[in-house]
Amino acid sequence: MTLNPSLEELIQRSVDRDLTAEEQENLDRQLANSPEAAARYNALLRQAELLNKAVPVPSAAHLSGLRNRARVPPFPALRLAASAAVFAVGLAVGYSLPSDRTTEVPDLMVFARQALAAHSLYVSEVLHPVEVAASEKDHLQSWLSNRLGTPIIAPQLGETGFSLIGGRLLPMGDLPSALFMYEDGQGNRLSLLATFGNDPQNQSFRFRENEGYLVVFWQDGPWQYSLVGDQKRKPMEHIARLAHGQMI
Amino acid sequence: MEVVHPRLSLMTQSFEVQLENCLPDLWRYAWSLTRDRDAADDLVQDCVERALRKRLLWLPARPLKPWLTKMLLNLYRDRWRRETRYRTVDLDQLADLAAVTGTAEERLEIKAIWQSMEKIPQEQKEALLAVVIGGLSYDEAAKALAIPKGTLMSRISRARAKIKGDRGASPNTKIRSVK
Repeated sequence: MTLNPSLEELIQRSVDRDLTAEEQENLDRQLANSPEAAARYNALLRQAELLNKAVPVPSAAHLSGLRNRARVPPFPALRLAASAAVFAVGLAVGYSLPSDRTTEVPDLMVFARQALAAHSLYVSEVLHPVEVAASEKDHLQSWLSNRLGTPIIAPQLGETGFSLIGGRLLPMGDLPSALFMYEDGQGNRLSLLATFGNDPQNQSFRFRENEGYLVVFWQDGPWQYSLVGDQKRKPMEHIARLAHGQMI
Repeated sequence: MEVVHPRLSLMTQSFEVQLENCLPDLWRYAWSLTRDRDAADDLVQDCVERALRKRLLWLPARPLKPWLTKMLLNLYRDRWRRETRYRTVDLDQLADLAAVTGTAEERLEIKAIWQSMEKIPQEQKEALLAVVIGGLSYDEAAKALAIPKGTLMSRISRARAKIKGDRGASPNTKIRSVK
């Protein structure tokens, strides 16, 4: 092997604009002593340049056309700004969010309360916390998908230490709702509820604490979600985010 | 005097501003993967839609570009599997395009490079183009492709070696073939 691997790496990183000024000087010194390496370096630079030359550059007008044609989710700009602001502070204000009536969604609140009721009802069930056990996950998912009228999956929360016990079907107002229950090694349980078919809205994560449980609830288009458990706020938010990421 | 970390400037950029700034590179990356203007348009538009829908999941302190690129790649891979038309290549069109700026010699070179790209494994091509065309740093590209940085760099390096190798006649290959 005639090639010094660290020189190879410097060459590659230099072509990809990854070198510090100091490293670049180091490379330049090495290249000055090795015409063969310098030729290789120049060939790679040229290759990247030619690759770039063949790729068209879209006009700003074309791109903003694409951007504007992208369907914007059906919620007003004001609420969007509000939810972004809520996220930006990470809801660090605690559970006592100022009750801003203009951004409050009564339906979602009702759903969160029902989710809490469902969780506290089933969480203490030792024998029958769920109707269909996790061992029949495929059946559980296709059954709930049929009843909700749209595909739904039970998110995997393995990395958080919680695994699926199973699920059941529940009424939420006049809509069917899917409940998935999870348990960790210490026997702590979480419920994740989802209903489909609500008036489309987008609502960022909200938190309510009640009866010793923390409820995280949010809405994404026609889907309303609630996560109920007795974990701390940080892990709950993480789990909610993880679950949501898998369900959309 | 207050010292502001350079990264903070990124943190204060809104979703919309970051999105707008990413669009040129996203579109060019989409084009380089498909070599088709309409396909690139579709991919970028769908990617923006998905980003707007999934916006809840985006943490404001994080740069948007790797996240967007990852979504674009997912969309592209889904379609790639389904639609074979992406696999047809019109290299002549490519040469015409380069003719706008380049010399005849350069046009041939460009054509040769993209021709050899056809033989490069998909995962290596995605890695190389993410950095060279998509304008991502190694860290960002590794995130977008969901692979370790070392893996990314070795894929890029292998892709480059194949492009060079295919040109055959270059003096570098001759030198290297002498043991």
